[in-house]
Amino acid sequence: MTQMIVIDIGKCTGCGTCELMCSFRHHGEFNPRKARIHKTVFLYDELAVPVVCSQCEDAWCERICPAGAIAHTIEPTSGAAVLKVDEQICVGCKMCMLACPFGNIAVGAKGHAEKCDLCDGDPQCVKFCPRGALHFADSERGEGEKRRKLATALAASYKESE
Amino acid sequence: MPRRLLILGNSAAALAAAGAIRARGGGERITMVSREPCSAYSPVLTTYYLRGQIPASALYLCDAGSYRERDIECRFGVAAVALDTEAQTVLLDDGGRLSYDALLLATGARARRLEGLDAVVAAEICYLRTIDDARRIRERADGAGRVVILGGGLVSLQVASAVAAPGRQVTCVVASRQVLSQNIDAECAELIRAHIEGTTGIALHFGADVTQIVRANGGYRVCLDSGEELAADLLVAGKGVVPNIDYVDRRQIAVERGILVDDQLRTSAENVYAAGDLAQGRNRLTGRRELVPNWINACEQGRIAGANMAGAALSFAGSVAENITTLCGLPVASVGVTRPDGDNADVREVRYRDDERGVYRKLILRDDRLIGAVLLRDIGDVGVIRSAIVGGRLPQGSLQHVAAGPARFADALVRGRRGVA
Repeated sequence: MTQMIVIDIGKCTGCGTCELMCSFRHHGEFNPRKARIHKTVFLYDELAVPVVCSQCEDAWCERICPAGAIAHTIEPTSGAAVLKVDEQICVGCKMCMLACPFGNIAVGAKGHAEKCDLCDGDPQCVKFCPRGALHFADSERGEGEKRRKLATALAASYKESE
Repeated sequence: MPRRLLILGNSAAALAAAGAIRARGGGERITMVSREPCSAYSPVLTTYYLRGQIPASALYLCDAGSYRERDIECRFGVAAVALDTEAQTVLLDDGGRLSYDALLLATGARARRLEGLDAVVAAEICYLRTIDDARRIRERADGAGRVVILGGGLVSLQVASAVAAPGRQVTCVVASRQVLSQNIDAECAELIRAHIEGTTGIALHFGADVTQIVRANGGYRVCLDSGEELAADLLVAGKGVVPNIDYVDRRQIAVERGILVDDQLRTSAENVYAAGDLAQGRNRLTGRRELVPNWINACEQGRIAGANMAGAALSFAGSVAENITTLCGLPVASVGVTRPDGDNADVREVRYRDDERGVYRKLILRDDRLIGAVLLRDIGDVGVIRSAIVGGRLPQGSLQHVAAGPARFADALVRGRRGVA
């Protein structure tokens, strides 16, 4: 069973609660700039999209970290696969920021890389999302597989159209 | 008999190759040969060690167990001296000879040495590339009141900031008119210069070449072509890198500035691959075959070369010249073509500058495709911009918006500023 944060874009209102709870959990303050999940609001399209680390199976950040500080671990309570930064090893060189195409990892004021760590199996963004746009779902519900299929189809059609 | 895959080198490209070979699970025999007698370490981290942020032990990426786990036979402390691509063998400096079914050249690059100096003085100049180099600088910096650094690139500035200390005079002698002339434009360089000189005691001399260095009063006297002279107790030079390819016979393998490779990372010799700092492969943005000595490129080329040695047919999408670092507390990133040369009629730049926050960001476009970016201080979205550059796309949103950085465009509007050029 692998749990992951699943985003239902149709339900997101862009309220920013996820960012506030994330920064509160990790930094003890309500500061969206310190959050590890970020929403982008497209006002005229009436669309809001939260973006958070997808804990890539074959992750760019993990592959290139020159200190070997980023590694896959299994979160014990939820069984979720999570890419974790070892703060003792990370020197803050920022190469992961260059590598992540989604901008989901950043070096913070403490001098080491910060990214979504799934809050030890209880992601606060999910817990407090007032519209239920975020789920911490296990792949038994099939989202993982469905998403993979959709992504594969999209990737194929993208390649064709090129 | 399993196929024998031989890897010369033991850093980013070599490790990525070994990992990719094992990930395919073909059961090949892997042998790694490295001149340095130690497990793999991260040259990227040497400046952090130099400034005392991490212990030497933290530089290592592997220990003996890591190689055992991957069933890699290690021949460390020996170097290749010659290849025979006909017989498919490599001659080592201990007299041994290894045969291969596929060979990866991943011996990287070394610091470019200063030329034309007195031999005794030349031997005492420090460089920063290897773990031994870093140890040497640390030892010699102890008690050195005056440090002169020859160069104004990333390594030189990192060394300068690492050794800067109260009571120590640190001077960089830069041949060009700006810092980071290989990475960024003059305007951004000027902001970095002002930051470095304003926040540290480091002095920067531009447009100055060293004519000679002599020993004087237990230290050195560095003579510049301007007639100026600098006294030094420690000399460090950062003049870029040159590929470690002395063992390669140019009649057997095509070499230009580095070893020429195709998109499968194959050299001109059969069953011989090359990856990393010594490989001259296709640059994704210029289309030319270039040396792109950086860690990310080495990891990616190594991964593809390794997989192909083990029977895959992966193609390398091309390298990207890029760098990200923090200079005296100031984050700076450069990606892709940041100093376009040749015919620039079709090149366009979108620039954003906010002196109050010390932010400078520039996007470089050709034919309405993003080909490069320079970001100073506000670099949080560098990965997204990089992804747009390597994908040959434009990022989402207006270019002015992107140049201004995430959330900053709105700030600028609200404050009634027109930072966007």
